[in-house]
Amino acid sequence: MKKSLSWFTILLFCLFSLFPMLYVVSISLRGDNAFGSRSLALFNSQSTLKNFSELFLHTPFLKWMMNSLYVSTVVTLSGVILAATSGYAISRYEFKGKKIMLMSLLTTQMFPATMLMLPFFIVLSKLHLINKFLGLIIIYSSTALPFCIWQMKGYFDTVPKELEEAAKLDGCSSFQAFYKIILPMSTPALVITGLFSFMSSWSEYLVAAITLQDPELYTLPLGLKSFQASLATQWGLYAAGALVVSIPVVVLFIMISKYLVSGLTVGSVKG
Amino acid sequence: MNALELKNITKSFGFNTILKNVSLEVNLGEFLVLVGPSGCGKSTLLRIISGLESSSTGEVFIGGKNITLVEPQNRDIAMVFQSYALYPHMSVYENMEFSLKIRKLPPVEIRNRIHEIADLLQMTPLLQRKPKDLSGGQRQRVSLGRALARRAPVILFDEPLSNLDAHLRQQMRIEIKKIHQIFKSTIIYVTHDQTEAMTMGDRIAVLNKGQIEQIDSPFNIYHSPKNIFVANFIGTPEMNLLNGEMRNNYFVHKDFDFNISKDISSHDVVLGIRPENITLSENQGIAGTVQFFENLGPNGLLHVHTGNEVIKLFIQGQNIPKINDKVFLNVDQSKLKLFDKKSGSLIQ
Repeated sequence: MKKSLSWFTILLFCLFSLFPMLYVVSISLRGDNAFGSRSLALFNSQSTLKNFSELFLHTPFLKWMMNSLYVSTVVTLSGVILAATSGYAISRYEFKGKKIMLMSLLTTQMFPATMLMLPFFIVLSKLHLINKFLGLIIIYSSTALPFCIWQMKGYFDTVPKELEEAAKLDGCSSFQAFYKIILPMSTPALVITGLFSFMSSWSEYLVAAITLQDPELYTLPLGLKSFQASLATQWGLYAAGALVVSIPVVVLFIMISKYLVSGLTVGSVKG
Repeated sequence: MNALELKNITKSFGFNTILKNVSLEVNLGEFLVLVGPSGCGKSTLLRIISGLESSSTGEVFIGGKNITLVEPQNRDIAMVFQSYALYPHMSVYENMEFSLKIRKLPPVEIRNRIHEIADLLQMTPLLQRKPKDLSGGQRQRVSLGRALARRAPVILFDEPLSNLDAHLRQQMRIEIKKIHQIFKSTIIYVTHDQTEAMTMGDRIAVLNKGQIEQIDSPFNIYHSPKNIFVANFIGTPEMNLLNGEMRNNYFVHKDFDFNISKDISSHDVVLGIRPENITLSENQGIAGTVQFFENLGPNGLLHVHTGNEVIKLFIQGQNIPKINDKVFLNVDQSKLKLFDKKSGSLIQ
């Protein structure tokens, strides 16, 4: 009885979570570009893929996707590399100002993004980085990096120091011990960090809106927003776009799910 | 030439001095055991030899070459860690192969070495397994194999058996000793277990509070301890240590006295006698009451209360006195040791 109740509760929550997504699917398959409907049916006789074909053939959707992919990939790669190296240094070495630096990194996470808009815009315009991907990449990286560094530091703190010591006695320099031993066994943390960096840039709208004004440079969130007009929003296109945007993230999650397990250090030391 | 030499090694962490002026020479192919209580500085000394820790003052020589400032990766020292320190993402084979690859040995040589060691340690069926799929004993065996595959002139062991159960510990003790006899490497072995020290070492260095109290063969350490600390630390159970005074060739204790045919100038002394050198007698000797009996299997340990002191002795056979029985103890005078109470040093 207790088990059935648990299953029923889980099912209820699943339906609750899935409903908005199914609703978007149903809008994307309707041909009337309407948001509301009297029916809850997902498919009906008028269901069509017209919105998807129009999205790819008659809008710059692919261009926006490539822009987003480029920005997100650079942010992810730089985020992972910088977070791994700095997180490791903070975890393993003692240096002056370490505590202050860690607290400062944490403090940057306490400001809401909207509060930082103006300073970001001023800095970028003074550096002539408005309407350039580099400007967007710098902002995305700098906002995601503090959390990523903390995350990687936290992981490296759990890795036994004896492993590096063993590597050094086996003939490795400090850097070799890091990239030959510590980095390969840090896959779960690297994956989480990469995913966080990717997500934070893939679906970000606000910063992109103030940085990129040229439609040629639009990322996916900006592009999707452009379907929305004051008089006639193209809800079908909007929904189809939103579904396509979510696909890479879902695929990414499925691909890396095997790494999202703890315990890669099991067996290395006693315990 | 010495395989390893330490000259006046001192290590301090802030105001806390861990090692005080430690000097030590280890012969080529020798199995030296560093033994001492927790916190005595033995692991720190090992880490200084390996280069993982730097000394505050002093010098380290290997094969006559000063390596005090040489990085650990360039010292050609192998180490077996207490916690195994196996690379979790690598198989047993890859763990053993790693250091040889770093040193750019030819692949055929690497393969031969690994298979030779794996055969010796009976690890061949485990070569493709990851550390997480091994038991504690197997992991320690891999850790040992990894160090041996290096063929380093000096191998350091940092309490390698302390995580294993008693049976496995005994097995591994024999195995390590056998391997030492085959490879004749110079081994420095740190342990706090004095049984391990006694059974494995060619020589034992007893450390206490950052200083070496005595370096000698296991036999001499056990039978001729230089001071009260060594006498008390080495041996299970520990030596009986009785505080008393010397008066006209008599050792006078609060509860008893007996003649000692030794000319001692000190007044306040500590008499040391091992439990196996005391026997029960019919009606003469130190009088006491049986307080407790520990059955150890082949023999037993009797705790006898003499009034202010508890003296321990080994007894064998069926006629074990019962608790609260009155007994008399006979001390083998040729085996007793006298220490100066003030300095703790052996007098005779």
